[in-house]
Amino acid sequence: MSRQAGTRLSRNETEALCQKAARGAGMAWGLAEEAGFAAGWLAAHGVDGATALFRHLAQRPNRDWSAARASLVDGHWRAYTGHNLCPIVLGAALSDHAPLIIGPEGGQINTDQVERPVLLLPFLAAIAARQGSAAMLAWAGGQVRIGGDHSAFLKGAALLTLTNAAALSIQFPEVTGIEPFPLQTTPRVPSETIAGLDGFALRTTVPATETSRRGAGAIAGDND
Amino acid sequence: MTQAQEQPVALALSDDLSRFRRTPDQVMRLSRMGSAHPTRLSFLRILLRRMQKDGWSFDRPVWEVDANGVGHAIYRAKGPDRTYCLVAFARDLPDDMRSDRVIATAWDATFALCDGEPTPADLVRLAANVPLQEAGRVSTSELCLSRANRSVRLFGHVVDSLASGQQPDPAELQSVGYLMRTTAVYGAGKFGAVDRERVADRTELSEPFQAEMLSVWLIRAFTVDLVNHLAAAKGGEKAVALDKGLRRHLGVGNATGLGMAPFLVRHPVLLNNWMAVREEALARVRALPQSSAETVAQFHTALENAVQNAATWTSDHPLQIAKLADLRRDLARIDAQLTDWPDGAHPWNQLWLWAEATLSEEGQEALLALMLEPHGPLVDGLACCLSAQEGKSFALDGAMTIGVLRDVLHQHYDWALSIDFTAQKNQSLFWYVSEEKLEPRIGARFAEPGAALEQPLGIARMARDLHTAISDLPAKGSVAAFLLAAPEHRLMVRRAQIAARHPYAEVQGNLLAQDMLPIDLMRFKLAYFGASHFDPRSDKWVRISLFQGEPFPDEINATDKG
Repeated sequence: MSRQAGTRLSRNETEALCQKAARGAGMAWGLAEEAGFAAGWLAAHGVDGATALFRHLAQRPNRDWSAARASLVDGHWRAYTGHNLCPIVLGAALSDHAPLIIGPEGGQINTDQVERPVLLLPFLAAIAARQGSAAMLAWAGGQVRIGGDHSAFLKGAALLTLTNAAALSIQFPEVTGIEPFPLQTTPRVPSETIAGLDGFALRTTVPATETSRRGAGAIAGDND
Repeated sequence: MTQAQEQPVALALSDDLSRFRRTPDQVMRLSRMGSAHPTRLSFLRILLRRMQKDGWSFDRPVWEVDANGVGHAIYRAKGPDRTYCLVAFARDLPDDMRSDRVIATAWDATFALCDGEPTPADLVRLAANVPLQEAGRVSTSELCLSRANRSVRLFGHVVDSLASGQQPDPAELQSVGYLMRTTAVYGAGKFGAVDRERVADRTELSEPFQAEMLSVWLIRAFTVDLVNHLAAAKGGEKAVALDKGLRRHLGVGNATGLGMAPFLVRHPVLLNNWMAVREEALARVRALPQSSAETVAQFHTALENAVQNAATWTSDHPLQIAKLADLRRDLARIDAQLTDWPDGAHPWNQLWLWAEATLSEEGQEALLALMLEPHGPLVDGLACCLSAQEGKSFALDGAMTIGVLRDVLHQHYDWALSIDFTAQKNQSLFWYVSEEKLEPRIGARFAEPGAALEQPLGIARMARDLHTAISDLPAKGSVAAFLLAAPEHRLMVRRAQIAARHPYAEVQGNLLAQDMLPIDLMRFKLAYFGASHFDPRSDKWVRISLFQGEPFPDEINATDKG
């Protein structure tokens, strides 16, 4: 029974919940959208990104997001002094910079320590799909390749999910005729994750007032 | 899905239509969107056309409902490739539990639309979950979850009449327009249902909201079966079934609150495609060099129907009363104008230009719907461009320069940049989600707490803020570098880049303004669904009827046509 624990969230539900939670944790709206995208992509590919995001957010529940900024120096993404890189901030930055810094030969990108690096995979997959390449992420504990052998990807992603933080090396090797990975059954998400994300999401809501209750619908009842 | 669906505007529009096409700054205004009428490209019309064309068949393999109206039933819709089943759970709800609000916890009836035929195990699972709605879960074998409440007055009147052997009062039937109203129809992965991306490549689901429309249409059949059943149980031998002609007057009601309004803002590519398709359809008709006797005759019939529809459309809301007066007056003017029409070249365009110079927005938008009506072969094919693969527009173009971004803002957000946000009236509202019910609400920024937690729907102000933020930056800088330093503008940069490729993506109205009416957005969306009667109960919630006047499953049943 324990293997059945948790709830199978759809991709849409995963995206919506994770976006709200990221916003509740203080991310800018546009970055919160990226967090939703990342967790949703992972869910659609059979990986529990929601839990990775929850752990990332919960690690510093009152994070100073200005200190999560990344900077690019000579092909190396650096974190703010004394911090690790946020995978959402870095993923968005990689995605934005891809057309500017990734040359035809694929190039190599290195990073400082990235928290919950599994959340970076969706961004790499999207970049690879846009430029028609594969993507390769390597860290001290292993590597994941997007494009090619699907079962190897799933194994690598599972290993990466267990990694709390790692310095990364990223490449976009040129290949031809890559098919996107087939969609997988979305994973069961542990109830602690859902409760935790709900808790962050609740921070985006406003307590009710009498004024707000009025006008939201029928007050006199709907027995007409 | 095809590329054509991703970029309908770029691919489907030809240059020689451009002088007949309305521009975004004409059609993306709140007041005009709030005057939208259903057209033959509305989603429920698309559904009915497809089912008729492809010879779908319908039956009701299960009816296990007792004399009190408690039990379950299954409605089956068989298409050429797949079968879908609506599973309905009915109960006898005490009046004090009946609420149309999203906060309700019990309903007269609850429904799931299943992909294929449910197994006995599925039925057990659905019976344990569907009646709970938001508190339950469905699975990827289901497409939609929904619920409905009785219109107590009409439901009781119809059951009592039929039980005593009488047909119900037609005027009463028409004035309410439905036996039950849905209070939510969830699809697209909500509560564990299948994600849209996994079914969007099915022909019968490729246009927007087709599974939702199928749910509602089958719910309509269920509501009539239920009154017939209850009347028979009550009246015994004396009871009669509802007359099929009268039955046509019944649709399914829907009560919709603020939640629907943000949808259009959150789905800019989809909004663009909906609007671009309709405007392309209008342009095609306007560009016709001549009219045929047949299309003119059909146009006259459509006008007669519209006049009748407007005559039976009632509302107690001052805003809607004024709009109804405009509509009735303008339909009469159109009728008078037709005396000497058609005469000369481009007759439809002549009529249109006359309308633009003469009629209210209400009348103009009604005329648009009427002009599309006789031109199915010319416009129906555009339906395939209504959907959007939104994921394809998600990634930002980081290589865009600040100079180009500035140009985009000037070209597509001029309407926003000219708003004076130092004036309180221009940002006196804020949209938020209530902690109490997790439902969208609107607050008064300068009178209520919570504005710090507002939702990102004030696009005009966000565009202005972005414009200010980049005004002193070097034109050659990249968007990528800008967003690294200013992630708070990321959402607006994404929208601006989408708007640059999708000219109808933005509602050109200030959603924070004191005089903003959320029902304008709701009416627009509901008209696209195909709602024919629109009855606002305040400026924040509305009742409508869907499928009124349309056929029932047994009337388009392929197997019944013999």
